[in-house]
Amino acid sequence: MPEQQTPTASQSSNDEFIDFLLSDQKTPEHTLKQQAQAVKAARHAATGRQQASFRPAAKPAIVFDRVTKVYQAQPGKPALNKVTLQIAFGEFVFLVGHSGSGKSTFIRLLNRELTSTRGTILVGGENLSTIKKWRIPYLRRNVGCVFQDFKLLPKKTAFENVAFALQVIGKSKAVIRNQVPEVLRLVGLGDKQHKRPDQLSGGEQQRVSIARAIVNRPPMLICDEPTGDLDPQTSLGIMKLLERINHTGTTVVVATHDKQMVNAMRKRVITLEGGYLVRDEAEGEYSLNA
Amino acid sequence: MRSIVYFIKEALVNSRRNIGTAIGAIITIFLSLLIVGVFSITSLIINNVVNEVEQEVNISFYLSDNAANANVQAMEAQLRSNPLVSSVTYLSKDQALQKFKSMPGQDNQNFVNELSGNPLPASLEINLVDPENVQQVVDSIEQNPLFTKIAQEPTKPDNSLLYGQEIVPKLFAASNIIRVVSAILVLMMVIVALIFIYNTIRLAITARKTEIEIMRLVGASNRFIRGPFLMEGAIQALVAAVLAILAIQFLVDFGLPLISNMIPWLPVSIAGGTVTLVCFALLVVGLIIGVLGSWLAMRKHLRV
Repeated sequence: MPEQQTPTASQSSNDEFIDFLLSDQKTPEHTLKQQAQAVKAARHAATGRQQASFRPAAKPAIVFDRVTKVYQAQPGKPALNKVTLQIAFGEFVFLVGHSGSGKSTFIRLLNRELTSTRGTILVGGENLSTIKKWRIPYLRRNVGCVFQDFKLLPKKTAFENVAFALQVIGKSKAVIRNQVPEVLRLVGLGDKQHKRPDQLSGGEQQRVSIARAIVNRPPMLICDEPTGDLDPQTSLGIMKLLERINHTGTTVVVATHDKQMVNAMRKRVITLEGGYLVRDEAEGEYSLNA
Repeated sequence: MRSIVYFIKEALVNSRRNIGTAIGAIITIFLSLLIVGVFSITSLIINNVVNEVEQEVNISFYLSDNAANANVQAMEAQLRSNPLVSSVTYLSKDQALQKFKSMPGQDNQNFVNELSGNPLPASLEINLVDPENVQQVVDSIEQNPLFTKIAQEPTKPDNSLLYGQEIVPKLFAASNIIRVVSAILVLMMVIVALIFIYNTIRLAITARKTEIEIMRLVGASNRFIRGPFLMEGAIQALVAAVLAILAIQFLVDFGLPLISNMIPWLPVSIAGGTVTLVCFALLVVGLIIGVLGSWLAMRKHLRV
């Protein structure tokens, strides 16, 4: 599996940002220790909350520094309130909280769909408040996105849906023919490439959308309620898949309120409540009163 | 270059996938352009008619039977040298009688045969460069010292100089109104067509906003997202414009003769060159609307 996730030369030509991100991936064994230290340090920083001047050993994948997001519609009630945390490369992180706790805002800030009102967000070292408009598409090529409602194109087959993601960033036919079947096999849909979304189950559709998110081999994968519409058995399969993707070096952030799942996976859990970061535990549990 | 080919291919594939929407857009653009074209050509024809009618405003200068030839020729020469006058023709008594006989409508032939002699005066028929200057020319003739010597009724200049004194001012007022109104109508039709076409394209694009959203999320650049949509707008507008041009050519070739047969007293016609110009304008306007409309409609979905 790991060799499937090794970045290709064609990708690293995008720009230096990608080079930087990928260089961290190219030698996973070598940096594993460093990353582990970074995770520890990041957790420490996150629990310490206001210690923004902290410097980890390795460059973190994601940095939130006193990030506040206020929507115009609700000026008195920030959706996120001075959230400070770091996520290292290669981490698997759950983001939990009730509806309205700020999970979706957090996710949408990460791929620059939204901008923070105050505070700094760094993704792969890039400051999202000052990023140039033309660079945003390149940022997004490095942050795969998975959503609760899959966002598949109903008239395209599984293959075409995944191929679409490569097509619109200008990849050649050869790359598409090579990578799409491979990634569909990886998510367990090798034999259903030519089915349309309405011929697939919910879990299978989510696998297609995950395949689309990772086909370009982004160093980061963010998921907003990926199992929200799925039954527990199917959800488990999706989570195992995400874990497998994580094992290949991809940083994975999953926003969810699937309590059982979070408790079963024993991963880092960041808890948001009313826009505040209230807990950040290494092998955390979903400890909100549901 | 590769992306242009990709845009065209995508545009065609998308048009085929959403064939209903594509046909709807083409029909809307086609009808809008057709209406604009028909209105423009109608307005141009009306303008032609008005011009023709105005050109018929001329001055008939009735001469006394006793006028000396030398004086008449001197007057003719002076009128010719007037920059407001385009031509002067001498109409002898016999020619006037012949002209009267051949005038349509009444039974002039018999009427003339019952007359003894020729009661009609000779005249100078004066055509003008710009019919709106008719009064000025009339004034200059009346002030000419030769006028009293050769006019049929020197004491009553109005009887010697005939130029439709009563209707000319009304005619010019009416024709100016017709010109302005038809221009405003064409302008309004253009605006209506613009809004119509823009809305159609906007709906077609909104129907595919998930697609656009996904393109943005997987990191397609705005140029890459916009390309196929602009190309699609351009292709649809092009097809619609060609249809509109064919329809207009058909109307000009077959409809116009029918109309001019129905109202033979009005010079209903239009130069072929003008029609070509209108068609070319429709093509360009259609393309601009197709591309610009798509661009504007995309803007909202591409805001990052």
